Amino acid sequence: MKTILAILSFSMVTFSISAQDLYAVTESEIQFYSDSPLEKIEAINKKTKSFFKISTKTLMFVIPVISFKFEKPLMEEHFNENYLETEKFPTAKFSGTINEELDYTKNGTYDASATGKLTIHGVEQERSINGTITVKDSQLIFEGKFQIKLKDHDIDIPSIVVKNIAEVVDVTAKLVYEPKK
Amino acid sequence: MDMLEAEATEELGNEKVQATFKTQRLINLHSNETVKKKTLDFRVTHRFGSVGLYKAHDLFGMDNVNDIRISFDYGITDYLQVGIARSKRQELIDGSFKFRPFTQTTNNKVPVSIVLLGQVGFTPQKDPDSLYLKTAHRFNYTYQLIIARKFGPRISLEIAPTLTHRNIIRRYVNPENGAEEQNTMFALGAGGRFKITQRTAILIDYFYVFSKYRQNNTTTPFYNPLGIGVEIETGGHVFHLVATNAAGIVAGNYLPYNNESWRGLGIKAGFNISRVFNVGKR
Repeated sequence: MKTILAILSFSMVTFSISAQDLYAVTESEIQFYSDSPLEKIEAINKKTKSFFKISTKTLMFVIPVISFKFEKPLMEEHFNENYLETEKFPTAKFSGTINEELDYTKNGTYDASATGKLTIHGVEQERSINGTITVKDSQLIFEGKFQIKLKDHDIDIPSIVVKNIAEVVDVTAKLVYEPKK
Repeated sequence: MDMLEAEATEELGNEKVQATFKTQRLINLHSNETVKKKTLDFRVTHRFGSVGLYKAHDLFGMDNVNDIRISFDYGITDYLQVGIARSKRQELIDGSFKFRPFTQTTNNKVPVSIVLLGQVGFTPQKDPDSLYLKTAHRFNYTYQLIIARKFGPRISLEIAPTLTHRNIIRRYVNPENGAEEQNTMFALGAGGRFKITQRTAILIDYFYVFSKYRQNNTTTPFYNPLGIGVEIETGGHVFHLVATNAAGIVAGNYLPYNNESWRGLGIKAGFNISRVFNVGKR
């Protein structure tokens, strides 16, 4: 009887560990902001898919580029048609690892950074992104802020609209993870 | 993680296809595009004179005007627009709506976009021949079903079964086959857009008019409207530089009354300019 209980409790422990190893996004908000002399451009994307694996510290996300929503519909069309070429490059991706050793069982907010490959417009760039990770019971909240140089990703801005679009775009990301079922 | 990436990518992809065409019209044909919510599309459309009529004497039509149309179309929702316009030809004032119940999706669950177009035209012009005995005689109607599909980033095609109705006509007879002119006419339109660079495209559209009266009519020849154009997009404006044998700009004008052909140098140069304004917050 004791052995059975021991096996049972042991298996439950391992089960719970493995269950909490892999986290999937439940809520996401990725926003970018371009501030130029003539125009402020803002867009928000709530359809990001992302996974985080504690044991290997690997972090991966896939952003459907077409799901960026703009205030002006014409901007959205130009963004997809002319700049990001969404039909050719439907997703933006990040795949990397968290650099810090963190205790994901203790509630609190920790400074963290991730290093890996950021792919936008089909062009891969090695990037390090700083931010915070908040542990809140079973939830993990990742928040980060970084910049993207359009040139780095071969996004051409024609001279006629060069005053309307910033060369460097600010990106903020907030992702809420829960253990993947 | 690769597997997860595949899973994540799988779950994405069901968005509505954008920009099948750049603007709500090709040359003569309407596209499946509607004006987006709370935006106003202001358009100036112009058709010069026929190239072959006075040749160099009116600079191949440049000194003359076949039709000018100024229009305002407003998006009530992303799928419903209403518009008013005024054309030189027949002094036609028209009101129209365009409704898009189906939009093509990226995962092809909805393979085509479908749009319904309704247009009512009213002519206030003087009537020396006493054609318009009642006010009702001054109205004409166009109904169009537009089925369009974007085949990748470069090619978009559409077909458009079209019905036009004029409340009054002169009941002429085609001497060749004895067919009478009809109030209601059916036509099938087809058109496409072929992108050449990021901001330029080639446009083409054509209508086949089903009218026995118009076939081989030797007293009044009729030709099906064919348009070819170049589209240039500058960011805020969309320009079309076009060549077509159609004299009128709205279907109620160019479908029933098209008496010049490409071969007979009845080609007209023309342009469409579209400027979209945002009206209030979305």
